[in-house]
Amino acid sequence: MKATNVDIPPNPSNATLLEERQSMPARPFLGRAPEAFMRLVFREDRFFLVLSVFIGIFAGLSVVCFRFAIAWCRIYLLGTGATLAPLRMVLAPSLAGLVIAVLVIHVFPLARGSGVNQTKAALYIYNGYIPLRTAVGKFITAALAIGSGHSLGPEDPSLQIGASLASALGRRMRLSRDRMRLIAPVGAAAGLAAAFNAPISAVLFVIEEVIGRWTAGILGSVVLAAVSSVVVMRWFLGSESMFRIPAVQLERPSELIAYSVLGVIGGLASVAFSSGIATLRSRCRALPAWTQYFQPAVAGLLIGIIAVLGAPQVMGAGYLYIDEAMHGQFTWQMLAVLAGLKIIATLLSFTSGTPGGMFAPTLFIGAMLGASVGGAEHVLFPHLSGSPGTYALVGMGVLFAGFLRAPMTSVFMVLEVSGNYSIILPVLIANTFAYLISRSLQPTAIFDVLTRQDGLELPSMEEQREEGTLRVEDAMRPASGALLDAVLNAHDSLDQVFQRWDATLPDVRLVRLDPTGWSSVTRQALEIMVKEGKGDLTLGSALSGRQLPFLHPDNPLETALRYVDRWPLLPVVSRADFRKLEGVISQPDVLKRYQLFGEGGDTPE
Amino acid sequence: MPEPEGDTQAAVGDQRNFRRYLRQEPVILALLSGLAVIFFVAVTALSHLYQAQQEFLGNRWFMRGTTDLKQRHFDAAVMEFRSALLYSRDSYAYRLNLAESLIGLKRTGEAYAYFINLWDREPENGLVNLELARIAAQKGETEPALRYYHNAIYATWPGDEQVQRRETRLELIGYLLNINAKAHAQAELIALAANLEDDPSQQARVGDLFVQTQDYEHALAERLELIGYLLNINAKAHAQAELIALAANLEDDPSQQARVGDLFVQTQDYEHALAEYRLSLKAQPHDPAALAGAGLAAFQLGRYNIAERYLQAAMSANPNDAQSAARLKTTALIMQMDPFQRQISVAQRDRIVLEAFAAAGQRLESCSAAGAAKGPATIPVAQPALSEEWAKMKPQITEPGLRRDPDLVNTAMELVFSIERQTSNACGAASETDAALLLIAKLHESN
Repeated sequence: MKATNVDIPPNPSNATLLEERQSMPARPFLGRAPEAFMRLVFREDRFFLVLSVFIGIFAGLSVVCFRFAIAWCRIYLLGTGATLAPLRMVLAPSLAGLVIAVLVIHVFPLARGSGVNQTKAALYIYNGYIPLRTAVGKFITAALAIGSGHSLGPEDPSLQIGASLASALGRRMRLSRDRMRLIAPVGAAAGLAAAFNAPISAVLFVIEEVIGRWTAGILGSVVLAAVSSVVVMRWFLGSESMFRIPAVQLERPSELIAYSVLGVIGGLASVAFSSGIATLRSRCRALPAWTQYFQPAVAGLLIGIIAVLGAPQVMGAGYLYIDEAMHGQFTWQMLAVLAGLKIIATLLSFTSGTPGGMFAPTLFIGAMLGASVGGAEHVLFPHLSGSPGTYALVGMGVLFAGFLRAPMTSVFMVLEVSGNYSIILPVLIANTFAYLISRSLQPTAIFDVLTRQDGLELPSMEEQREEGTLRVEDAMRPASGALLDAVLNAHDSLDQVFQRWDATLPDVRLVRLDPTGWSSVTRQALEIMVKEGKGDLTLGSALSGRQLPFLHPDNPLETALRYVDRWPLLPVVSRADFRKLEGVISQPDVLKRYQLFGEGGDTPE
Repeated sequence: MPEPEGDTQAAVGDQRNFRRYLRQEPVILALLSGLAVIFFVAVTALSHLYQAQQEFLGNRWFMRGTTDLKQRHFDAAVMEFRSALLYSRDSYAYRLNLAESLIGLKRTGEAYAYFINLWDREPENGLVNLELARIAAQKGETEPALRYYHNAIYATWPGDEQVQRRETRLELIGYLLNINAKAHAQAELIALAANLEDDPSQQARVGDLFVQTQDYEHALAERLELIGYLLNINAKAHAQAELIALAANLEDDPSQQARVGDLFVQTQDYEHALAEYRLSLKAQPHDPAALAGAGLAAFQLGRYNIAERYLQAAMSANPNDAQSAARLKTTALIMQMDPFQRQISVAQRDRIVLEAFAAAGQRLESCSAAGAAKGPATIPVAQPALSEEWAKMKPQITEPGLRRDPDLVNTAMELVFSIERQTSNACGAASETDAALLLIAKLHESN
């Protein structure tokens, strides 16, 4: 049997890089220079990058208009002052809730919810399809909801608006399926970046929570879209940081303990918040269908009552009150009360089906909680140097990490909204605590809970991260008895093969070639060589043109799957020295390992 | 051969698709660019509308807040400035005024948070630094308070920067005195005094502050400078008041006392001047300047016997003192020619009266002659009447006449004094005798 090289399509796996280089087919010469040039310029991946810039521009412009709409709704529904009239506080969200319910039920059914899961669904289920009508519906209903005082935020809707616009653009451009799937997250990043004025956070969030992976192409598109949307947004609305706090100076490293406590409390609060949403949402969905016409209105009414009874801060996104909390306007007791009331208000608004986001309420709750914990800690330990603003800012990150389960995004988000790098250490430590506690008490993240309640099965990025990955080293076997020296000739090799026959090995042996490389030979091939009078030929010279792909122990096991069907035995070599054989692997080894994994035994770390 | 034909057809199809692709994509890009421009223009128009409304609302709330702040309705002002911040979240002026309102409500914790943010943005703002200094002082944080006070002194201020800086430094000095940092306060006072304008109230204030720091030397210097200034602008009453205050706190330093005495003389407060000179002479009894000053003060007070003593001593100490010499001569003349002085005999009194009466007559003559030379219109109305009266009384003014009628002494001397006053007004400077008679007239007027 003549072993031949097989053309291997290029793939990004590091383990087969050499194989890629060796076996990549040469590109055909086109013959016409202009056409070659145009082909080069208008390659789809490059065109996609250019398209990403336009997506960013359109998303940015849409988010700007969205902000205007929210502001106008607030002015005309709630009034122009910071202090609101009680009647307006009750009537505005209630009546707006009625209108929103009708719009969502009859006109824009896909506008319901925050928008994050809908974008993920577009990526994984609908091949990137989000109707443009969704963007319009989200725009109108969310602006009305937030402007009238519902406890929701504009960021998630901005994310979905951006995704929807991108999807529409992609469909017009007739992009390939792969590109269509990616275009919605690109638009989502653009929308979120403009809404937060935080490009890094938006990019990280989309990669961390929506796409779950990144390549050069994905990163490029997402970054370009986010940057262009932020440029547009800043052109119209300025580039000041959302919040300003003075530089933080930790006088003693032990002060980090105070922030750690905040992280623990924030983690617990996150669990309470997400449990509340999960529970109440399922209850609301279980109610008769006709109640959906009134659920947003009832939520608005209850929020209005809470506001009239002394906590108008719970209405709307609440950024003004976050700013006030950072400036020490409230006592720590009041801050704790506000955090609790905001949780309730957001539960009411979100679970009633009112379109709007959870990012802003999360930040609000985190800020209030953080400032409250900081205030209480100051009472107990007056020497602590952190100001209310510092604790509030860290608190925002804590809730973001604990509730939304986006630990990396939460750190950068805090840095970007404050423009203050000195807060990095408290944020890192507090967010980590919150994330770990939230994860241990509630393994399923809130977005995953919501998708399951919607009857969808979307991949959970968090679960994928936490899932153990099987590697080649989990399936490979020792190399003893599988190796033949290249200096041996066919006669000697046959002797060795016959003497040390291991029935568990496939009917093939590996041969280490000089200077580098591996090949394989079967017993049958050796016998043929001897029969043909080539018995004195060394294996090295006979097999030099037949190189094998090789693997490394840390490669994902799925990488091996690509090759073990074509080569019965593959070498697993050290990364430091390709000639050093760590083990061997075959198809039965791989399948056996997967079977064991499926049965729940010997799970990888 | 099928395989080659199939390949050719696939290549042709591929070529067509690619050409279609090439035709479409540039066009699409151009369309997208056009759409972006249109969308951009539309949003720009919308943005103008939005910004105009935001600015209008922000200004409206801000103006209301400013009015309430001026009227010290701090509660309402806070609400209004917060409302203004809804429309211009990052406005420096809105935040500054909100912070000021919070200070008014004594919510210093919240105000501090705003001020510190404002300071981060504009570290050279004088008002912000000053408020931070006050808050730190209130909290008992000395180091930050001093730092912010110094920042405020050298910061930029709206309006009259010099005034603001001076007031800030004065406030700092007050704070330093409160925390008993007298040395530091003194240093600040010296710096302040070096840049002080000619403002009596400020100089007085600085002088008082120097006293509080127990730096009497500088206090005196400041006070003296003030008084000098007041005298220059002819504010004698004010200068006198300052001198009295200064004298009350003066240490036992004869040179300072003498200096103060001189200043009292300049304010024509001879009583106080004499007192100061006397104090000075207690420690330095032979100080020529103090003696001369005391002599002058006593002379001006009409205490000629005291004046004579001091002036004689002054001449002994400094024979070249021409002014004291002249004054001494006049004093001696007065004492010779005063008929009402005690311890003189009747004969001596009568002789003095006769001499005075004669001198008055001569004065009338010379004055009338001078007036006639200038013209009848220059002769005062009363002068001929006085001449007549003098002429009428002359026969009675003899030694026997005066002995017979003691009241005639008063009558004669009254006429003499009237003549001297009248002729002094009409004819100006007279002889030494007339000058002495005039002074005697003034002396007895006050008595």
